[in-house]
Amino acid sequence: MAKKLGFLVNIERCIGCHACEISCKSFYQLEPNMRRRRVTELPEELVGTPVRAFVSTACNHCDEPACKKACPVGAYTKREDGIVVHDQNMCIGCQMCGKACPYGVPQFNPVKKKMDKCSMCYDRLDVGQLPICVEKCPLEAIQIVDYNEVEPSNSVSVVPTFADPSITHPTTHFILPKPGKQTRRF
Amino acid sequence: MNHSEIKHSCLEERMFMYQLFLHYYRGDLLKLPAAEWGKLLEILECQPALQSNDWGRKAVLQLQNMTTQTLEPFEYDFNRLFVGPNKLLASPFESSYQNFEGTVMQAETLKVRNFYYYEGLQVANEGGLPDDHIQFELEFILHLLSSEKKKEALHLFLEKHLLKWVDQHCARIEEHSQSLITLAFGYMLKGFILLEKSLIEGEGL
Amino acid sequence: MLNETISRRTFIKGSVSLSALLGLGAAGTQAPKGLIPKAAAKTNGKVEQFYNACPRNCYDTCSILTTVEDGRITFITGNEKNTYTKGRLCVKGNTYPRVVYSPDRIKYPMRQKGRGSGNWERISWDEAYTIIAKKILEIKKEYGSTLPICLNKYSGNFNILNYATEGMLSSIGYTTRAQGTPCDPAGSDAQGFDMGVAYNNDPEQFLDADYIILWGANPSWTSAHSMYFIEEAKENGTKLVVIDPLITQTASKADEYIQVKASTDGALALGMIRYILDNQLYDKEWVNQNSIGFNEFFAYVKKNITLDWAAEKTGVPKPVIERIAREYATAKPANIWIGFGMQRHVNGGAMVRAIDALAAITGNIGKKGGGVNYIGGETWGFNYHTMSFGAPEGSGGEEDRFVNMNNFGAQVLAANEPPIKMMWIACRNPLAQDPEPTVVKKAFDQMDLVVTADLYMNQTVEYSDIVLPVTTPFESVGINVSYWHYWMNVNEQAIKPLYETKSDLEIAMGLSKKLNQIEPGSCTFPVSGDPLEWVEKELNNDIKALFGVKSWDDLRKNGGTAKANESITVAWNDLKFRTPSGKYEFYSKKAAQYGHHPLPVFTEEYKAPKEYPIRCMSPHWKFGIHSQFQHQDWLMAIQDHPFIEIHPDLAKTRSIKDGDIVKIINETGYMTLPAKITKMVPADTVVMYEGWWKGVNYTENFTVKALAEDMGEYKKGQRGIAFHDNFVNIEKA
Repeated sequence: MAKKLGFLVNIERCIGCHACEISCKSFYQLEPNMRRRRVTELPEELVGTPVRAFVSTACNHCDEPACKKACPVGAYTKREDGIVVHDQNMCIGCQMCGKACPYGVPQFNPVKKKMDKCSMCYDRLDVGQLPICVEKCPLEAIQIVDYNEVEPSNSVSVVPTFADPSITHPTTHFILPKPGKQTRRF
Repeated sequence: MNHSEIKHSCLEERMFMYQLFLHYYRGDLLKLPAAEWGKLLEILECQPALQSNDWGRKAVLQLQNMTTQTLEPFEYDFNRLFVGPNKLLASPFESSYQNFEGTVMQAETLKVRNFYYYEGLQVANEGGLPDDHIQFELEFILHLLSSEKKKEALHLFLEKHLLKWVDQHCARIEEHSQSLITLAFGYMLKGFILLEKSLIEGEGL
Repeated sequence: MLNETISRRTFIKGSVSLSALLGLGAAGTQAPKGLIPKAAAKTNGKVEQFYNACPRNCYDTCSILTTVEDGRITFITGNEKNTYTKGRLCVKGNTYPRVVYSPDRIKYPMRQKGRGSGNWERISWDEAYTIIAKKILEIKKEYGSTLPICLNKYSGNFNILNYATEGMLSSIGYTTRAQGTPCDPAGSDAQGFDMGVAYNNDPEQFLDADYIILWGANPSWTSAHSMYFIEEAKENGTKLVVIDPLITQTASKADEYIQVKASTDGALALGMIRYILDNQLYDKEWVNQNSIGFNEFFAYVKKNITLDWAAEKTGVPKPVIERIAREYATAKPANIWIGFGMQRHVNGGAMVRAIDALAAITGNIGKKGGGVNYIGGETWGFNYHTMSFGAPEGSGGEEDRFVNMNNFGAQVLAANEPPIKMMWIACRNPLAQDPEPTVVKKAFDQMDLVVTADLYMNQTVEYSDIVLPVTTPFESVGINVSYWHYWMNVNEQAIKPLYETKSDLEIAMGLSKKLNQIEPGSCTFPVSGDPLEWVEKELNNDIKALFGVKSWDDLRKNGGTAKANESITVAWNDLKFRTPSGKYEFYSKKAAQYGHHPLPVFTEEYKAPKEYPIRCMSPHWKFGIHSQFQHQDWLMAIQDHPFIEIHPDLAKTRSIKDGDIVKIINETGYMTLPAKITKMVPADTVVMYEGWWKGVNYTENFTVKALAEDMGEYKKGQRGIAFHDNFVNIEKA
């Protein structure tokens, strides 16, 4: 059976440090506003007791990618292993994919006049290396999982601020933080 | 100036202009004594390339209004625009215009370096100074101008490099200049680049 | 009009006239060539890798692997051979390519005509050295010594070779020095009184801990690599307790978070101690064998401390104190990490002593995975060869004079006989980082010459006469160790220095050369030398044995990083304390000598004045180390403005909504910035993060007074600053 690769983001371990985002940016020498991975703040009351919580997201490499459907020139392909690849050479920069993606993942690069998005570092995966964000997270909070092999029982497919997964069936899953005990000052 | 005479600047005129900008960006004019500025102006007043469009004429007109008081802020303004120590207001590096954030020593810089290599040249302090500083690009163009055989390379370099970014550079000078002289040289460069563009378009490749 | 003042001459056409005019001869012939014939061997596509060391003032002091293609850095990441760095950098370290290649770096030596005018002229290094050397010699002649010259250097770069700046100043004679540290002084004195010196366990030993208390520490933001070990320990079943006035990012990760009233942590520790003593949970054998003064301390606790008092004082309910005390005392080993923030109070040193005592009575000191961990310096035994040359003969004065770095402006202004007339600033941005910046500025105004060596334009450079451009770690050679982990990292030169930048060591040699040219014998610092030779001279046999390396070059060839051997990675494993008694001193005569109570007692916290009832804390921010990194646009793209965190209840009393502009004010100063309404802070406290200076006309220190901590003189020469005892009022602007 073919693989079904997806990101597994462990919010319990994530400290919201943005190292994933900046190491990706540095490795691919992206401009400051181009963010293939982005860390966003979650609501404080996410798990009941108020905490600082963040979630790191990139392209969700959806089972039914809206970007691929929307692209008029066929610049998107979904690989057998599930990775949604955008071919910048074919891209005409019409931005239809960006509008179609419920997660707003494809970004317009105004210098190149092309769209840009996370490729799950497929060229690294193909030679046995991990994606940069996975390898460089100081907390090892991002993994690549083959969801055909294992669906982590403790994971969920949606977090607040994340669009309804029934639209495009994203492969990204999240491990929610366990609420700790808090004693507030009396 | 009779327009037909200068139809397109002759080689010598072009070399003069490139040399002028090379000296300017290398900072040679910063220490020019007040009296010598007058002589320079005389020379500039007679340059066909400067008389053939509005930008050049505007620049010369500006310089004609120069007084000794104009000279002092010139150096400070030159540094604010191109040297530092503050954030550069009109970066003299090509790569600053080819990526959003103006990072130096990027892929664009290496393309310029490769062009120099192709002609058997390199920046003397390679690695220490980004290869795409305008002064090196101007010097390189002068090198290419020196031989008819290098015409193709010259056109390619102008198209792929200098002409691609100097407009934006001049726009930043216009926006941030606080000195009559830096502004005049900004106009001059802008006007001259227009001529070079039309020359290349006219000649084709 | 200028051209009317000269006679018109015969027009000489074209380039020849231009070059003649500029005194350059025929076109280009005499002018220095920017382009030269290409060296034959040059090829494209050459990829090399180098080891670097992040030299910033940071626990993690990472070993870095730098990829260089065609002489240009293309990627910077962590070195996998270092088991602490683990091949990964923090968010700040990941911005290093931008730090190096930002177009905004300071590129050339420059002189400002009129301090603060923004009118800069470019000068050569030779001119810069000449101006500085002449001023030094002039001052020496006028005042009979070099004491009017003041060095303010600290933590911007902890490369051991950067001590060349201190060495250079020592080599011209006796000078005035900004002494002390804004960092750890009260806590370091406290641990000094208790144990002889501050000494921490290897942070990789969090994995060996059964119970971890992070006490006022926020490693999620300040030591991401430590946080990895803590999260791993947590997954293995270790309980993580965070005690902090704020729900920090780290507190958000805790199994249990305990909110303590700021500056009462010592009361909490003493309350826990009382419970442990009452319930016979302490380690009698450890105390009997390894300490002195336990009985006096026991008596103090019995007499003065009750759990009800501790609960009342700290805001932590009594049952919670009791439970945490029991858990801590029965876990083996239990690990405490005391953060620097916790001691930035007027009673900070006393509080650290109380927490130390908690670890001592439970026998957690000297145990692998345990400890009361604060800071350490066991791996810093370099030769400091750059500081070894001494004052030249005939230099006036008898010794260096010190002013407190933490009250720099006022003490510089107060210095007389001789007054201070020249400042050399390196690895610091005092106009942004010091308390009472307006006073610091006044001190600058009194100077004849201010020289600043820096990477980027900042408030201090803006107000200097001469700026010297310095190298990034990637452009010079060095060696680094940490005050936290136990690794030594080499720093290779990965690329050529950009523009005309130089390292502090090269600057020291260059200035010495100039001084000796003008007045032979006026500076003892060597005038030349290969940095590779300099760095080898830093290693002595002890440090080589400790790290198992033959030389710097040997380490460079073998992974670029080495860990100290296990003999030192468990603090106080031999239980031979470096106190006068050789034991752990609950009762410290040394403390008494410095005017403190000899016992770890509770001393009262600083109370809010009536007009300014709100505490304003300024902890470290995740995108910066003091004034470094934050200003990089890669990080500005994530967060482009500072903000103040306000609890919704407090915001309500002043009708402040999220995003409203808020004015923070006290008798020292004021500033306005946007509000972030959040329950992460208590209702009597607001928080703004430290080190943000780019794009704003204030710093967090605008309201900070030079209020001293209780300790610091013993180990650091000067007391620290009670940065977190800053009281303000806020209103909607």
